[in-house]
Amino acid sequence: MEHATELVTVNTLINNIERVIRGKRPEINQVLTCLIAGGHILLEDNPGTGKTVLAKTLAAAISNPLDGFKRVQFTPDLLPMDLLGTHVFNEASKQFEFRKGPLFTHVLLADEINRASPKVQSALLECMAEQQITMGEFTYPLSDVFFVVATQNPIEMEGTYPLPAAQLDRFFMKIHFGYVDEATEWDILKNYTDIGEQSKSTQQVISLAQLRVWRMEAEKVFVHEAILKAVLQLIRRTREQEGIILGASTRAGISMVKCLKAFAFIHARNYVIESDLEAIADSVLYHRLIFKNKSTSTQLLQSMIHDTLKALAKIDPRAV
Amino acid sequence: MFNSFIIQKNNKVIQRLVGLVSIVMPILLLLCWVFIQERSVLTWTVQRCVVSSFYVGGGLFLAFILYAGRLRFWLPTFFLLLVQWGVQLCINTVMPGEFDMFDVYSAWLINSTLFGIGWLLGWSLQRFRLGVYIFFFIVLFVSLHSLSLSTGYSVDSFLGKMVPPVLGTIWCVFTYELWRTFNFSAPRCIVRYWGRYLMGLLILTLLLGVFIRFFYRHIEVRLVEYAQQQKSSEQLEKKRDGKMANKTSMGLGALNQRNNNPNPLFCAHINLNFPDSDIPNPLYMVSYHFNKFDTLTETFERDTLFRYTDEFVPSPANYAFFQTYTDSSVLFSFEPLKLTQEVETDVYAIQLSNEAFVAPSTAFSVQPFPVDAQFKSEYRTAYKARSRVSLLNSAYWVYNARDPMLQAFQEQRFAVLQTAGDVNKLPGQFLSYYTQFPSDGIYRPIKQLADSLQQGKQGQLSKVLAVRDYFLQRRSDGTPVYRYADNPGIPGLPGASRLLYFMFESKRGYCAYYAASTVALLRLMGVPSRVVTGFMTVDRSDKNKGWYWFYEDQAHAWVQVYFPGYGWMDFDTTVGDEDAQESPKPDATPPNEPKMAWLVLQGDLIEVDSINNTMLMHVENAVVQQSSFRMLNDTLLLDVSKQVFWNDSVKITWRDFTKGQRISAISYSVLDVLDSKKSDWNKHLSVWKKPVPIDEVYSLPLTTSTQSVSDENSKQLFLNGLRIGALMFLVVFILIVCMPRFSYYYFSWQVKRSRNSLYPSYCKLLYVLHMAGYSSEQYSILYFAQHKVDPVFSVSFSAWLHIYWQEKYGNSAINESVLQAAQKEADDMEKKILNTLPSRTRRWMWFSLNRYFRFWELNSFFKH
Repeated sequence: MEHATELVTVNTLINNIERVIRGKRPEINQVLTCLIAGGHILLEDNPGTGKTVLAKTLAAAISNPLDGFKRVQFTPDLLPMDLLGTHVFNEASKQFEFRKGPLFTHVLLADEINRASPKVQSALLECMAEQQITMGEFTYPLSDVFFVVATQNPIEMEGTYPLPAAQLDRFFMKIHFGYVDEATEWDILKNYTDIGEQSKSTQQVISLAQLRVWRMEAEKVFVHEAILKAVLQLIRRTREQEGIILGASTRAGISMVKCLKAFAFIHARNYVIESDLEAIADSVLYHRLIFKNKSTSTQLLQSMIHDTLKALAKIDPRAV
Repeated sequence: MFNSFIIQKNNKVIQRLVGLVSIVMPILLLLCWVFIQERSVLTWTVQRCVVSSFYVGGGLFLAFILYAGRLRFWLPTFFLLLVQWGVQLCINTVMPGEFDMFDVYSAWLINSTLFGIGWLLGWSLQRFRLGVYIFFFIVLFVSLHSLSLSTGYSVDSFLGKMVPPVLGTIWCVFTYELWRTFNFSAPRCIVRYWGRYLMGLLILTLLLGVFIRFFYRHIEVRLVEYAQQQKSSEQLEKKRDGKMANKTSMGLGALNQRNNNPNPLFCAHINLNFPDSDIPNPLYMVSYHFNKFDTLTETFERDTLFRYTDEFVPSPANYAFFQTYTDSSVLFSFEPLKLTQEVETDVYAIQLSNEAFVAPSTAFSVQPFPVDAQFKSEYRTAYKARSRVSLLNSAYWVYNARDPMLQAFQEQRFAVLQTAGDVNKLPGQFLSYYTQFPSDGIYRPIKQLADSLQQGKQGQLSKVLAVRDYFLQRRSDGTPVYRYADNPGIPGLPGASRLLYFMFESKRGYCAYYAASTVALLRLMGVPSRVVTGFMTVDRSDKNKGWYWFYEDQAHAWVQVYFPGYGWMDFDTTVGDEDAQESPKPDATPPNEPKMAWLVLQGDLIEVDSINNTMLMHVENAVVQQSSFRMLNDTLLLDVSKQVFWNDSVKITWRDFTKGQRISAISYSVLDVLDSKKSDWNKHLSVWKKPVPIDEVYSLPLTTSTQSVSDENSKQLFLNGLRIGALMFLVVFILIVCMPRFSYYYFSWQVKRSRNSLYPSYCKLLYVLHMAGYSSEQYSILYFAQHKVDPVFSVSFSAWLHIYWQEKYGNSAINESVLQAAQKEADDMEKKILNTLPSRTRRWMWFSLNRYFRFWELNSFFKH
């Protein structure tokens, strides 16, 4: 494999993170997939499941912790200004000067994003899409590896502003962090001090330059026509499926392909296979769809993915 | 946890109990029925049948309950065999020489065998899905067998024989499947189970009832057709031409199926009156002589090799019209026979086979002749037989009746026969041949009876009369000791002598029994005698004097006794059938005396000229007046302008004659005035005018054996169609059952064929796993491989899948050696999977059609 050296570092990165966040390999993989695919990720779960730690560790692993990582706790009284930065009058130069907000970083942890007012949410999401901030006539570019890790508590909890579907579409993935299994939790409880130590001592494993190389390499991963067709069919099916009010957009398809490539790259392959689709399809699609019936939504999407996979498995490679 | 365990346990028990009641009980009933059906073959009484089925049932019950768990087959079976062997040993050692040891021993053997059969059956019911099917195939086969043995072709008896196994089969298979698939853990399962059970029974019975109701007529018609083909009784059998004739051996059967066929077999005119009167003298018609007795099967058999045999059994179909076949060697005698006369008998066959020959004994000549045109539709063939008959012989002499007139008549004959010479003066070979009968062993009682009967009896006749009186004896209350019965039954012990059973136990039988025991007694008294079969002659009316009609129930067996100086005398000891309500059968109009042919020519047709009305014929045999000329080699031109063409008894036309056909040409008009006794063939030929005028031409079949009758053909066709249908059904059934296996071979072939792709190996692996019960249906392939296959079979299917996917989705061609290694690994994996499976799954996985069809429903491999 041509990117053998990159592989070693990918594994080092994953292992590094896993030292702190235990028993969460699939989630780490997904977060990394979003990172390499150039997207952003939304973690949805109850408090105390390790969302913040993950984002922190990830940031520490890929950049200098001092300027590479910012954390914003979203509250209802947060203003867009607090996020983007503001023009401040400089007495000395008699000029307005731009004071950069926390957005000017590599990894941004937007904690409890659904607690902020819609105004703030949309300001953030706009930046996520554009990779730049426009203030008046000035435009400030954001970091090229700008990666938002947003967390949100389940919508049912009080004092939240649910993200509109159009804005959710900007996240490549929404993943559920979930609780770890019993053995891992036991381990965590016994060694929580160690974990704390380790999170502090997490070193920068890769450079930003390295990350840029990864993104380029991931872009080169080959996607077989059969897989592309399967993605296409899956997306189109979500629009025609009864029980789904809003189907997946074309942007969802692009995100999906990007994620597939990144996921394959992480798994040391220069081609995408059907199990990649199996692994990420649900995370990529679920938050973009609006279901008629919430209670059966998971099942409905799962069965659609299952059917797509089955159809894909049946294809005779010699015939394509 | 514990609670649910108890419930599960209870369900198992309930399931077993329900299975016992709903499956085992009907099987037991069916078994009992099978035994009763086959009791004539097994020589068992009804009670024995019931007891036997209880033994089988015991084994069945025990095995069914025992094998409901996960018990291995061999351990309990081995234990049982050990017990069986032990008890056998005990019987042998503990009671040697005991009085009824043999009985106990054989009873033990039989009963333990029956128990073992039940055991196997119970085991197969528990272990194999096909067990119940196999059992019912056997039952169906047995009922077909018993149906083929019986000759009563009434619809009711047919339904009676066929409905229980068919109903039982469908029913038990239904119940078995219901029981297997029923969910016994559901609430109120017992009620629901029995509801469905009874509902099934109801629907089944209704369906069958409706079927019988609507198809009764249809079945009846088919059966009558079939019966006409297959009709046979203990005395008669069917010949190749589909017509009846006497059987060529006489056994002692359990049942004499009398066919009350309203159509006569044949009619005959016996040209014999009582001396000095015009009262016709009926004579029994003889077919075969049975001289030998086979003690093993208790069958009387023919023996044509004996020097002194006077049996004459030509096949009339083998001779041309008016060709006389005479074998005067049968008319040998050691001394000049007194009171004999030559008698002509004309036999017109209706249902009688044209290969059969019956005539009063002792026949020596046969001459077939064409039936008069007016009667051709009624009588198929006819022949004239000549016999040398003793004037003492008469059907009246042999009727074993108490009519005083007859007895007075018989007394006269006895008086003559009293003067017969001493048997001991006959040639020793003759005497010993006709008096041989086993006198020791199991036949000792007969010898003792013979000795007691001949005590104080001097002369042959008195011995013969002693035997007759023995069978006519009555008890003190006036009831006869020996009765007539068409259904005499069979002895309770298998292999016991039926002859002894008749003579000393049941004392009920039909003619074969009386003839057999009479010959046994007479031979043991030293009286030369033999059994003959043929037809009893009954003179029903005096309208047509000398004409007699013969029906199927007149087929008969009786005895002939040799009186020195008078020859063989018919002698019938069969007692009258008191229960018989024989309706007087009508005599039909006798056919006209046929015109005597003047000339008969037989040979091959060379040419037909329909314009000049001539035929060119190659003559091989000819009969002119009464003298026949054989082995001729002449070509004759025949004038057939006024003739009629016949095929058998059907008129045909010019078109039906082809070159090379065998024909027979007959002329009734006198062609010359030469004395045929003195002139030779060429002399006749020279004086006839040419072409020779001919009145009738018969087309003859090339050989008698290839005769085919058209209506026979259609029946044969129907049967053949049925056979082919059954065969095709069987083939299709086998094909369907073997389809999973064939598909496996198909996959293997695909793998072998495409060495450059892993896809066939992938499909094959999934197929094998699916058939073994590991379906990837509800999982994604990777999950299935990682969690359902790899840990169970300890293979690395998931790792293999990645290689396959590299081939499938990768952008560069996969390395050849890697591909080959992967293919090999797939083969190894398949082997490992198959070896890891439990042996039972491995054995039956290829028969699971359910899974098979599900597989193709889910996957459409190799279809683009």
